[in-house]
Amino acid sequence: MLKENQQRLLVNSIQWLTVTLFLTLTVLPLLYAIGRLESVTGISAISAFINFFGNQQSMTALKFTLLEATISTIVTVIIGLPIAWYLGRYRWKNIRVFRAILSVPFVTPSVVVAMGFLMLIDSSGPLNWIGIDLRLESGVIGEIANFTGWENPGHFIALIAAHVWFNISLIIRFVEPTLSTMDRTWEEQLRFLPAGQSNISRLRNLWLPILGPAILCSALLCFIFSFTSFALIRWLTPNQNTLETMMAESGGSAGIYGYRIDTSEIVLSTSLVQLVILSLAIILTTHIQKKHSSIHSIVSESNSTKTKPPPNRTSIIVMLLAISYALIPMILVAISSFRIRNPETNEYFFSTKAWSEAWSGDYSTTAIPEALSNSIIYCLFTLAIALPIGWIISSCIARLERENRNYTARIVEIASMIPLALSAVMIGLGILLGLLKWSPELFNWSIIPAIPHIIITTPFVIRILLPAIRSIDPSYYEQARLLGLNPLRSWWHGRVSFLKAPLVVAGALTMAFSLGEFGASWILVRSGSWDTLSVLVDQLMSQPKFNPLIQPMAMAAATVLMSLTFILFFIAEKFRKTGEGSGF
Amino acid sequence: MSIGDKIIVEINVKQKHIEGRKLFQELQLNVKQGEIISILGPSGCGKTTLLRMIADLETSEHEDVKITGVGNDEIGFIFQKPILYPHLNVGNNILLGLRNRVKTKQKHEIAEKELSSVNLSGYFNREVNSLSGGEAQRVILARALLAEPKLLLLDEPFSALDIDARRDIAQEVRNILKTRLVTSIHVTHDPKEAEIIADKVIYWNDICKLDNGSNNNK
Repeated sequence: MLKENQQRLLVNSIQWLTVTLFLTLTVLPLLYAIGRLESVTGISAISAFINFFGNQQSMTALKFTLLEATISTIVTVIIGLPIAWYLGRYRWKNIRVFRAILSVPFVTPSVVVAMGFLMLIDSSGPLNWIGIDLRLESGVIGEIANFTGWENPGHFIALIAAHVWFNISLIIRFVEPTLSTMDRTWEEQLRFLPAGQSNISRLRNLWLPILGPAILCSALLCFIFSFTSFALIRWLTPNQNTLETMMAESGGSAGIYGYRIDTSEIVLSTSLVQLVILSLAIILTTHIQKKHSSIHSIVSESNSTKTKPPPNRTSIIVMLLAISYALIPMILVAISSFRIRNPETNEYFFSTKAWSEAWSGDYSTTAIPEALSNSIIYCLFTLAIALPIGWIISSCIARLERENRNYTARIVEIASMIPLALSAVMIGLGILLGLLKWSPELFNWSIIPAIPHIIITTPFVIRILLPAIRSIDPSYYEQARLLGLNPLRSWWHGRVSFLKAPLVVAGALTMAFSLGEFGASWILVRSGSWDTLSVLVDQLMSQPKFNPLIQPMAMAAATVLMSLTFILFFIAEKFRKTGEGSGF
Repeated sequence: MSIGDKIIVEINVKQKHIEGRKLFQELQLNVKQGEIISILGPSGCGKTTLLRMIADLETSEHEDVKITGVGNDEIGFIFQKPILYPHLNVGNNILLGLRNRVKTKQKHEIAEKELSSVNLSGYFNREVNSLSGGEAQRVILARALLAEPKLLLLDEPFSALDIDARRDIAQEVRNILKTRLVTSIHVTHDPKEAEIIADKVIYWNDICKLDNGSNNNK
């Protein structure tokens, strides 16, 4: 039997080993990739970074990336705030259902979102039906283009609408819990003071200090996700490149000696610029999120017992619009899988033919069942690795905080967020260039696509488990030990029993994110033969549409992927604590 | 300081219902300048609701509420639960009650002066979470008084404190209110607290009609 201090030493060693392994898994392929690209191009990383700003193609991509990410963020905040406000300030009968529906977009696979918006702006889609032609840019949109000289405004508007749809739940997830748990007396009290007698003074003295960090934090995350968006850019603004798409497209020919050195230089310089921008954004987000967490915990303690007013007409209209906006693209994906164009008459009819063809796989490299089983294998493998890694790292951070080693805890916490600063495409390229091109025999290892999934999902596991681990009262464990329970039973009753719900949430979301992951899979799978459902959707949609079954088949694959993700998400929602302000 | 003869606030409410339950048929209350009135009644009889109606926090088409002599922005309200904003320190919480625009240095002096009037000198930079229940209530009183309300409403402000502390602070608050001649309506279920703080105690009887009964002049 190990003594208490030996057990502590063992636990600490396991924790540090896990942190080291995770960071190695995240950073090493990237460092290898940079080394490889430096060696292929013959220029140093610093020179490549500087050269980026002299390259017109790169600068155009950077400007477009910053523009679309900034506008997406601003519009998301403008649309998301009123929804969060009405959801949090009024007494809704089915608030859990509303929250779940409004949060679904964030876990919807990006390739499915792209398909949903493609169907929305399709020439036979609902927007065209009401006279808004974003795809071919005729009518009003065409006039805007002619009048302003703006190229492809329709595509850009569709992209912004899709980013808003995708990210709106971030604003709601961060802002609404603070709003709904805040004691209404706080506002009432301020109304009786000179500093709170007007709407503007209440905004300055109450709402901005209380909600500001939540809004800023969610806005920064919106910016990061819009900045690294891949599937949506690829499908909605195909004529424009962002840093992410530019890297992905150049990645296939990069890292090969004596061949297309220009693409190697693009990948090297772009990845470094993107790394710097995203790192700054992540550091800022982590800092603001800490402030938001402390404000939210104080606000939740005030938790109002006062009944909220029933929804008024404006709030009902806002919620109806928000829910319709959340559901329409998803419904369109499902409907479009049954809606087939008659090539002779150009009219549409409903049939299950696309489903049976997609199931048999006659028109694609893989059939739905094969892609589905690949996706499930990867997501189970991801779950088996990412969940324990995330749990151990979260426990390590919480332990360091308990031991007042806050500086070290903060370093580990920020380091564990590195994958968010790398983006899916960068992680995919890191593995492709850093590992596979140094050791091609790894191509035979069928589990390779799950590695980026593990790297990408672990930070989410940490974000979900860390607040829960922090909130466990250590006296439960101590009490169990004093009662004479062995260390394992003490650990079970004093710690694990409090983490069951967050573990289910983290597990379900890990699986959902793995299932829907597209960027890294697209990079790796096209270099191998491990098609996932998201890659199958992309492959089908990339085919010429002479065969009217192709598009509905892609939608059928997207519907399967979407349904699986939703099941996992609703499992997570069932276990999520009300008023949780974690944002995920 | 003595109470003036001039009635500065007249309150007249007809029929108050909450969730279908009638709280009272009619309520009339006249408050003289500088007077402290305590309304005494059991929990749940509608004392808080009455204060919220006076402050225009409760509105309903079924009731006829008339308040004359005081505007909405001239009312101060101290809630049962101490409301101090956690994103501000003690001094800046007090300065929320500042009516006029003044220079930063002056602001500090004003807040310190208010703090010393409630025996909390040197508390300007304290975090609100570090205050005891009694200290928090005194900060809230200082903040409410800085706004110079024409009418101050106190909704069981000491209920979170233990009995001894409650009675000590009630005496302290009475002294401050009388020194500044602040017209106040205070509600409580504690007869002793009402007796300590008020010039006049009004009993809210079991059938929820306001009984303008006993005087408790001091």
